[in-house]
Amino acid sequence: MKYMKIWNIPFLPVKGKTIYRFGSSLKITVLCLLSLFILTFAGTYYQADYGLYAAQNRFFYSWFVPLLGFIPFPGGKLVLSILTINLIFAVFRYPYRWEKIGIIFIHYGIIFLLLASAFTHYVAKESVVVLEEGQSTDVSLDYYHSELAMWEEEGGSRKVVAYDAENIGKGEILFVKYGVEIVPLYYYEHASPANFQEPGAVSASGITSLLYLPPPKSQEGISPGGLFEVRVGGEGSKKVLLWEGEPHPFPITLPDGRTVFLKLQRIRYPLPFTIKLKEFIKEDYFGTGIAKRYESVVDIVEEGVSRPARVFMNNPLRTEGYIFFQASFAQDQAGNRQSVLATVSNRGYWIPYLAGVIIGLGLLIHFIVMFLKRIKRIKFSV
Amino acid sequence: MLLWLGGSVLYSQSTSSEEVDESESYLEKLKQNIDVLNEGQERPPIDVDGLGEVIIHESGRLKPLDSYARTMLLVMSGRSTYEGQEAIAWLARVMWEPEKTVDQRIFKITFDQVLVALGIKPDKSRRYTYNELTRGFPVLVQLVQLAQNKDKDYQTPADKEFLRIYDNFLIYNQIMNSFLFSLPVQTFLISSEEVKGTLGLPLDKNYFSFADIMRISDRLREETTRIQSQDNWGAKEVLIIDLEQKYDGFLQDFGDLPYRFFPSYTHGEKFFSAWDIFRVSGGNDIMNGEVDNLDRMVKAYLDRDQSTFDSNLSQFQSRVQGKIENKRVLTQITAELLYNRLDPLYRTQLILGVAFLFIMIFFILKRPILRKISVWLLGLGLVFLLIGMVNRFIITLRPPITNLFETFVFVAGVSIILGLIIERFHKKGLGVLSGVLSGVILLLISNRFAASGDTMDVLVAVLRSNFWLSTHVITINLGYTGIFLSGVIGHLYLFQCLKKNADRNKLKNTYRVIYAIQAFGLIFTLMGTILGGVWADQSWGRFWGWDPKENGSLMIVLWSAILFHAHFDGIIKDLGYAIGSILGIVVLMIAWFGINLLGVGLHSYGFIAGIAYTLYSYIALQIILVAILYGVIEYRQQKEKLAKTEAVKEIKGSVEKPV
Repeated sequence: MKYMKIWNIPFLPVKGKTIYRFGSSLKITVLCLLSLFILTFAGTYYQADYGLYAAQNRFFYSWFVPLLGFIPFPGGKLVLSILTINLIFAVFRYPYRWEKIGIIFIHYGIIFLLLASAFTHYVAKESVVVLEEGQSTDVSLDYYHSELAMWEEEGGSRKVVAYDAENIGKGEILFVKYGVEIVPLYYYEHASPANFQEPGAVSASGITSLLYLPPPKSQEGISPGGLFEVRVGGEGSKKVLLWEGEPHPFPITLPDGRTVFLKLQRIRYPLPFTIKLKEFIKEDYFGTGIAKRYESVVDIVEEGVSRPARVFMNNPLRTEGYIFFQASFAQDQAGNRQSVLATVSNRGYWIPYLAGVIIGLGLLIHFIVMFLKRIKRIKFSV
Repeated sequence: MLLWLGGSVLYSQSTSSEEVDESESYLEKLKQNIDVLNEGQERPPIDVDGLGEVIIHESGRLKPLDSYARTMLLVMSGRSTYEGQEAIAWLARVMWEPEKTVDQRIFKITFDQVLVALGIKPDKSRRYTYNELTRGFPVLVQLVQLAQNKDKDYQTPADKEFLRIYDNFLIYNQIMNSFLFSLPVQTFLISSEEVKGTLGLPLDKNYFSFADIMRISDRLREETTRIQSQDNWGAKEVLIIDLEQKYDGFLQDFGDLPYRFFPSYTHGEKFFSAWDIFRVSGGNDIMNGEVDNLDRMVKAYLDRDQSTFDSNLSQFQSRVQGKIENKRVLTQITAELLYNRLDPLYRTQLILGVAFLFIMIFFILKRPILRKISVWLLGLGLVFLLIGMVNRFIITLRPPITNLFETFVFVAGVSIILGLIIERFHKKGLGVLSGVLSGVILLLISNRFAASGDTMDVLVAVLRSNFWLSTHVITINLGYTGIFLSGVIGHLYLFQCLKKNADRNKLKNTYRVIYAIQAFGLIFTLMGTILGGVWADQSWGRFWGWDPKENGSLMIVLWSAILFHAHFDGIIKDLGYAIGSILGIVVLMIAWFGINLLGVGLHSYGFIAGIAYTLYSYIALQIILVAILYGVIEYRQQKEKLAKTEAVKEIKGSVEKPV
């Protein structure tokens, strides 16, 4: 093999060359691929019992993972980082010959793909918009995480202060606004209302107590709740039960007569426009319950200008850096349909496409090169 | 009620306990009605082949009744014929002479646990009758409720078996009911000659069918109105009023059927069952059209009157066909009938079997003609497989792969093509053998999937994209082919190694083939995985989400990449590469349907209970086989080395001695 011997470049110090040779080692490549293989396998089996979200965080979005409970094993982030560095080193080591050009393309493409995945992981924001027919919204909701929000209605708009539910710790004052202090007495990551009466507690929707539940398999279904002490401007305090499944916020009357609202809810992200669901269409194959297609007919309203759009399977709506996908739908007992639109804002969404094109090109070139070689050989033998 | 219930179980597998209870009392009723029929003398049934061409609407698509009969018989009994009868003849009997089918061995049950639970005595044929299941039904209902209350992931194989048997039993019931309107029943027992005379019913019969009453329904209504205005009712009047009430009540017991016969007048693609039509429009005027034909067909079948049967069938057919707006349906039905009769995939298997014999004899006798014959046979098998795929395309107008069944057929086809290409270059029988083996194994696997239902089923919403089905899905399956075939040749490599004094050049050649095919697999799997990412990005908004199906194809890519890089670096040699390619099949199988068996993920599109066990035992056997082969090969090589060093020593010794 003729390598482009970078370690023969005169100005590179000897130490650098050794590091370089080590960094681009194929043995490291094989080790990384093998580790990733084991991680992928373990992560997939883990999903069956603990759900996708848990598996992602444990195996793929981590630096280390305890395998079988106690063996420390490199996590997805670590393996992919080493693999990326290894690849970047390696592409400078390749024999740059015409017949290898396909292979080189493929590896460049994979570097791109790995960088893109890192970029997406840190930059992309996935959230969800849930709308009933006729409803409109200008926020999207986080899939998994909740916040404790307090707001005051001012005409059509709200001024919201919110506290990430993840950080709620027992006994500390969460925030002081409008002269209201909120102190959590207990907080459950996943809870459901129970029948008994929590002494002295009130709530907005008639909940009398909360029961701790183990988190569900699919993290989307998580529904936190807790008991909070609400102190209003030194006028004594109330014990308030808040649960994310409640339909109404808890109203607090301030000493000056104004009312503010308190609610535990999914974290909200503002959208630069309003989206309104005009109609949700679900069509089944006749005589079966199998959905043939579902589609959301929406209006995008921005600064008073409204335009219609359609979102259906395999046909997302891209606008202003946001992408909406027809993810699923829900139907309540009254027969009202809700459309669930997955929302992604990802400025790097095109990078995997570019990487795909580079890799595809590489594969194609390599295929052609191999084919030509084969043809040549046949001519030889004839 | 029961009919509707069966439908809901079939489609959603969620039944409330009330419905199950009702179905029980319903069974009683049905049985009473059927027992009445057990009077007639036994004469061989007439020929009903033409019935198979009747167009029906079932599980969301139009198909010939023949397809429905075949699928149902296969699903219930695991066989394609019943005691030598064609599936359609079996179905006709269940529909029209249900009372004579209650002791047919139809329901295949292999789980001993299930038999014990239902109190059924095990039979050698492993197939059980309607009557036997009826006796176990009360227990079955309870067990099914128990299973349904469990989360799908926590259902045991026995639970799934209970659900399967329950579904089959209900569908069987529905089929038995589908023509109950034409069959004389207990409900319409009229022995009073006076009543019969008043209503204009034939005097020589005592049992009547719903259709019989419907024919005189106008008269019946007239009579009831007249009677109701009278004050004094005699026995005749009471009987007529009673009959009218029974007539009205009869329909309430029957609802949706598993399949429908009648195209609607307004929407060409929507079909209705006879029961739907009775419910929508009562009165004797509907007894003039298709319903009348069907009713007469049933009567002719019962009377063994071939010519009446045939004439009514053809009249029925032309009436229905006249109402279908979309004329392509007729082409599709013809194509599907042809597909059923020809059964090209089965023929492919037979031909490949013969090709296998020839190539094995070639390896023993080394006659070149045998190899040539096997090449031609392999080509012929491919032709039949392609005919099957084209035929399926004409029927469904979809790209070749839309479900798990079709992936196996497609990969079998490409394996055969690759095998022929290898043979073109190497001419040693290696290509034929690997092509035959891959083709046969994959088609045999596909048979198991065919036995779980209609293989041309409707597509869920996300798969309804011809573009992605024909790019991502085809590419990834081309990749699967490469990985699979390379693993099969890996086996052949190991067997070549086993031979004493294995020919080095031959081994190197085989290794090159493995390498090339594995490269083919890696290229297409990688491309397919990336295309899959693009599709996921298009439909769910993320390129990659560590979903089980995605992980599966990633594992294949990684495994193949590991092999390439490890061999390139010298970590593994040719033998290691061959073993790696064999283990590649294990990885492939896990990705292909093992991951689906985990039952999680957006992608899972097909679960078959029992396949999991087959898969796990395959993996175990494969690993044991490879371990043993590797052990033997290593042992031989060590021995050879030892023998060589001994020989060298001896030579040295003999050289040294004289000195």
